[in-house]
Amino acid sequence: MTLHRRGSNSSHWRNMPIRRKLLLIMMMTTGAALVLSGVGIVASDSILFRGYLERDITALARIIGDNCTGALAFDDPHAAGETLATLKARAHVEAACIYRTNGAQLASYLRPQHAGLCPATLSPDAYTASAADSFRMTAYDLTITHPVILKGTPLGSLIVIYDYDELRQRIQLYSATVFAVLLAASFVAFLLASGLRAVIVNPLTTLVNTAGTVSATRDYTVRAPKATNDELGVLVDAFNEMLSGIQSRDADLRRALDERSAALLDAENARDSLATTLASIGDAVISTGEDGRVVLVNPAAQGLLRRPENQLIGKPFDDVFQTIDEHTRDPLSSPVDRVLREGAPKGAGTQALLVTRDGTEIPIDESCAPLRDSQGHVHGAVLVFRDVTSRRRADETSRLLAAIVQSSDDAIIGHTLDGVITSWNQGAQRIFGHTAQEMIGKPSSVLAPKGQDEMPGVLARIRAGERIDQYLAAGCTRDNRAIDISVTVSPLYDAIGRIIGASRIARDVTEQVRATERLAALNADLKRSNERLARSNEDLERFAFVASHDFQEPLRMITIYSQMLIRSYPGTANAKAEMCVENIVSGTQRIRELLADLLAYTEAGADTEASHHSVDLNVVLEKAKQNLAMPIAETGANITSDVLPTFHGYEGHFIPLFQNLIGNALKYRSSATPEIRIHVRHAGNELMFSVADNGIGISPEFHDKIFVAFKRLHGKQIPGTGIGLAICKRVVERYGGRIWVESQEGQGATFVFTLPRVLEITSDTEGTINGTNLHEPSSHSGD
Amino acid sequence: MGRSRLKPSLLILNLLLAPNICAAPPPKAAPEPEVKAAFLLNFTKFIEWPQGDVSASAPFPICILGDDPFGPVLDQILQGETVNGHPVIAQRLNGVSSKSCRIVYVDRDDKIGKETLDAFGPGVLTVGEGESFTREGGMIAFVLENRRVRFNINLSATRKAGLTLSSRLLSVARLVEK
Repeated sequence: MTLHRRGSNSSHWRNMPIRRKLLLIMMMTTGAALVLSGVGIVASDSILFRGYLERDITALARIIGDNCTGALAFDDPHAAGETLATLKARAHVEAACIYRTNGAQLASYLRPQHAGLCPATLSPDAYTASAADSFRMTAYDLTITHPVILKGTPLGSLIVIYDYDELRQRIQLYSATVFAVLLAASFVAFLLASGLRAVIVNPLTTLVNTAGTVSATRDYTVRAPKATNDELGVLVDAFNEMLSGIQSRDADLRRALDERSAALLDAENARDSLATTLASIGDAVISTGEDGRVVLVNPAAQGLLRRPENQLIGKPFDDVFQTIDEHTRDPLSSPVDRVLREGAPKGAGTQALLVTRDGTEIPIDESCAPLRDSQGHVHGAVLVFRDVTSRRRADETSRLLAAIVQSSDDAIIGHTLDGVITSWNQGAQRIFGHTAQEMIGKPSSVLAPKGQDEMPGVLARIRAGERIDQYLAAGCTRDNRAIDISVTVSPLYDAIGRIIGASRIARDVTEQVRATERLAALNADLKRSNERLARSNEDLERFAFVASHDFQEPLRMITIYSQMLIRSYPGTANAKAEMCVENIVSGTQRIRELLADLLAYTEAGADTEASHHSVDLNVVLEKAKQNLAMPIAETGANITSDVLPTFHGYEGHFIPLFQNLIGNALKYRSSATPEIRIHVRHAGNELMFSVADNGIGISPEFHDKIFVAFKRLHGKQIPGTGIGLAICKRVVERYGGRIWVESQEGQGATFVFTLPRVLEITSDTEGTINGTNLHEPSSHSGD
Repeated sequence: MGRSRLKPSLLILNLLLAPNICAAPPPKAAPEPEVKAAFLLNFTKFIEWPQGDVSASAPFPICILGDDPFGPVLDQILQGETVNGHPVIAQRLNGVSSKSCRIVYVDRDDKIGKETLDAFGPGVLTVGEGESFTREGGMIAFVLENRRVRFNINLSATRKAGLTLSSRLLSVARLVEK
């Protein structure tokens, strides 16, 4: 028996074996009959007994009442009490009381251990109303009120209270009896049922076992034994008949099943091989049923549609496969729909873009064909498509390459390994003049002057896998013009990496070659003239040096003798003569100055041996200011300067530099008192000096000219040799620096020059340039 | 199931509902003449009266010999009462005997001899006062016991008079003389 723990009672009952059901039925029948009859007996007895009890108590009450008439009539509680006391014999009388006609109690009897059950008085109403006996029942007792009447005259009332214990005891007794009988009867019924059920259960069990054997072993030759000729016997016969029917059908079925299994196996093999094929081919394949829903989708299709198989099978084809026109971007109609409708294959469309779930657009080639069954009926469609992105890309690449080749200015010529020309681009036509038609199939020697074709040798190296870069070769155009070409040859490979030819890229460099030759000639000329120039320059400098040095003496003599002439003949010479002498003296003075400047200029350019002394620029500045003491004093100029660094160099170079810059500032002053500020600061790997004034300034267009020797802006208004700034430039450039001016006319001028920091001598003790000192101006004031 | 297993709460309820169980005062004792009058009537009901030759409509007189201690009370009590169909009436005798009397009551103070009573003839119940009355041949005598009206019976006298007294009457008598 199977017990379902959570099963309902009914399922529990259903699952119960028949022998238990039979037993239960019998037991319940017996039990029900016994219980019902027991209850009936007890109930009827209770009712009968209650009636009896009432009659009994009524009689009792009447007797007691009669016996009490005397006591009542003569108001004798004692006598009444004695009469009532006789009730002691009746154990179930709980209490009895007797009342006068006015309701007052005359006497009472109470069973021991019971007290106060009678009312102390009776209401006269109750008394007069109760001409007959009245009963009042409670759960525990029965109260009878009996009017005591003597010869038609009411004398009083008697109340008797009787308990039900007797009745209860009776019911208990009966119940116990019934229960005992029930137990005994059940036991007997159980014994009987156990014996009797075998009559029905055993043949049934046999039948059930047989059926179990048949269903477990599938052996339909088994037959159930027949024991009786009742309904069970009929059942067994029917069962056996059924078995024989099943036996024959089972044999048929088994044969059919075997055949079908074999067929299925074949079909499965076929399907497996088809599935393997579909899985292994690169094209995406989707097939649909007649309703347009996907029934098969191979791995390639799943990959392209970006969905796993379980998201595709059973979906409407249009939901999983959406294409748009590549050019118009309009959605394309479903090819499957058309094929299912028209029953005709649909050829490859070339402009379809497959839009996948993630929005990617994939160019595809697709073709669709109907699936037909053996009757030719269309029962589905199969769509084959493939991603043509890479082919597209290859096409684009080759088109790009072809465009590059065609539009290149260089000649790009394909050769077989034997030198036969296989391709010829526009560039080649431009350079060599031949058209592609003329040249394809010709040997390479056509392009070279007779006997100068280098290609055979080059191709031999190409065969070895070498690439030949950028060599110059001689070419020959269609109109027999010799040209120079720069050639690069690289091998051409086929798909498996074999060298099958060479690509020659040639550039017409005739012009460059000629230009190079011209340039070389010009360079040679330049070198020669440079050498000449250097020689003359050297001569000139030597001359200038000698001249300036040697001219000093004659000029001094001219000056001295002119002055002596005036002094030797005082008062004799007329004023005109004195003016002439003065002009001579001032002219020679100017010549001397000019010579001194020229000397300085040449010295600045000379390779002075003593160039590696250390020069303290502060000292240099002081010396320059001493040299200019007179004009400084005259103008009342105020000169301030940072602490200046110490340099490797020649003091004789730097004094004119500062002297000229300060002198210019004084010379080209404005109406205001000159303010000259000298600053120095680091700028990268240079030191940048600036000399700023508040003078008349220089218009920007003259900023370059002023550094050229003898260029002067102001003529004779302001005296000068026109060499000062040229000297400055020469000095600064000599030390690898630069000099320029920053100025606007009327707004003062700032001369800036740089010197490389490698020349700076850093020292902790003096002449340092470091952060703080650099910007602390030390005021120099000339007054 | 015994009463002892009654729930205490129910018991208390019963006690509360039972009217005047203990505290009820005894009913006020009726005035003595009234009680005696009622007793006189009640005696008629416990006695088998000889039929006699009186007609059915003849009254059943209760005669009072001598002083009348009852006054109108007796008449009120006897109003409407019958014995064996004869209406009960009260008759006051003033020293005169009457053959029709069925019960003769003699008050205590009247010294009436045995002979006077006997003169009423058989079948007449004589009722008097005090212990001595029955000793002297009277049939029923009212006596006071604990201020309650009781009575003694002289059974031989009644028997002699041909009256049969109910045992119930005897059972409530204070004393029955044989």
